[in-house]
Amino acid sequence: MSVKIKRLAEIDRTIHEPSRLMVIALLAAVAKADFQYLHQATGLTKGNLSVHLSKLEEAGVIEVEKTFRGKYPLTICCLTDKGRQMFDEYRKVIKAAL
Amino acid sequence: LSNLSAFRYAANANKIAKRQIQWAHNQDGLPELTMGLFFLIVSSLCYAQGSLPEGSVPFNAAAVASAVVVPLLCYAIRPAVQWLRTRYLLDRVGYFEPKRTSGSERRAGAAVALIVLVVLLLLSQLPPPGAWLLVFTGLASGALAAGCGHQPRFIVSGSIVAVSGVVIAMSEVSLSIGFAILFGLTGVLSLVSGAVVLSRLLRHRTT
Repeated sequence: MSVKIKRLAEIDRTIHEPSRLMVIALLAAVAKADFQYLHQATGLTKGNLSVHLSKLEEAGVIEVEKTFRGKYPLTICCLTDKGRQMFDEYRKVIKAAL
Repeated sequence: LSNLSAFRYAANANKIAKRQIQWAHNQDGLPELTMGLFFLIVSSLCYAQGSLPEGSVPFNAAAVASAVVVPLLCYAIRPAVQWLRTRYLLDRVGYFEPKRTSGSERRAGAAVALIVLVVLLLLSQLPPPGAWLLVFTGLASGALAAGCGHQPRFIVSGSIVAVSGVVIAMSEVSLSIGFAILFGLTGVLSLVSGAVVLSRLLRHRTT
């Protein structure tokens, strides 16, 4: 079996889960995004998205900041440096294997 | 997503995410509405310069307004859209902050602007200069709208603008009036498209 294919076994499952992958890919393309935006862009239910965000935050992939814009509460998410690095590495492995 | 499509998604993640960001930027129609107003203002300034007697006070005022208002509007449009969205549509469309443009992207933008300037200068030397300028402006505006928007409505309006540029160039109107018609049409198309998108968004989200 090719070495590149074998590296697929080392993939981090925190990122590889499809819903979380969508969230990370979206966050990788922006500086910051709020919960509502991620909810619309991914099509996940609010509960589901909330669970995935918590998991990503626990793993140190994203940072979550709760703030306000006027009276409107915002849950702002952004990728951490570690998260960005993990995502880049993940993409390299997948691209090489495909 | 199945596992296989997750692999494909991962391989093209950046491209897909950028498309998604573009979609999010255009989902409420605000950019089109502001661009529509911008083009209508530019169109009216072109018309004023084309129809008023040269050297008169209104003509000079229109010329000064073109030099001052247009660059100001170019800078103000993006913050205005962001402000309007944050103020009135945040709970409907969500919030995202675009990445800062990198040095290489800024350099690429400057290079494109330089090329456009050179092409415009070269075209202005060809006989008759006005016709070529109109054709180029129409085609470039149409291509830009279709290429950046990535959605059918942008492709349709871009094609209409491109064809209009050629048609106006073939008619025997003066350069200023030609630009006024072209920009006016672009503005009206943007306004209509933006208004339809915004009204659909508001209706959809409130029901």
